[in-house]
Amino acid sequence: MTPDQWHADKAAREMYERNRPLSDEELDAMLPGAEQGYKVLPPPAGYQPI
Amino acid sequence: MAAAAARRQARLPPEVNRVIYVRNLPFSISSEEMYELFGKYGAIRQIRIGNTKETRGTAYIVYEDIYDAKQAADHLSGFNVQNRYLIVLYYN
Repeated sequence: MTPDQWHADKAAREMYERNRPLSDEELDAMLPGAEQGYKVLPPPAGYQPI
Repeated sequence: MAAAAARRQARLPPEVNRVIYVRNLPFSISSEEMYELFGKYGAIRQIRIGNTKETRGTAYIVYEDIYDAKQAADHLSGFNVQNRYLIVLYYN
């Protein structure tokens, strides 16, 4: 494995780690909840993520 | 698509995060308006909005993809919503 392949691989691993899907539990652990004065805002009925 | 591909290769600074924290939102903003305003930049994983006296007017918006969050933060900071200027920060 050449050094630049290694760096590219490391960068890809780092980006995967920062971008891996977050579960609800992780979100609850990360973000302030009801007791800190925040509530989850449900998406409107016809919401289509682009 | 090339731009999107190039965008994906660019390494992001450490503070860039999938969760953006927004202040100075109008108190009366609706779910439709929130999802329409922030959903333009990418799929939204979750929105948490402040509902007490201290947290009203602020929200955490979680995007599915970190590059979308960066686009949103870049375009929305200082954006005028019902003549209030949005303050957008990355969650840390």
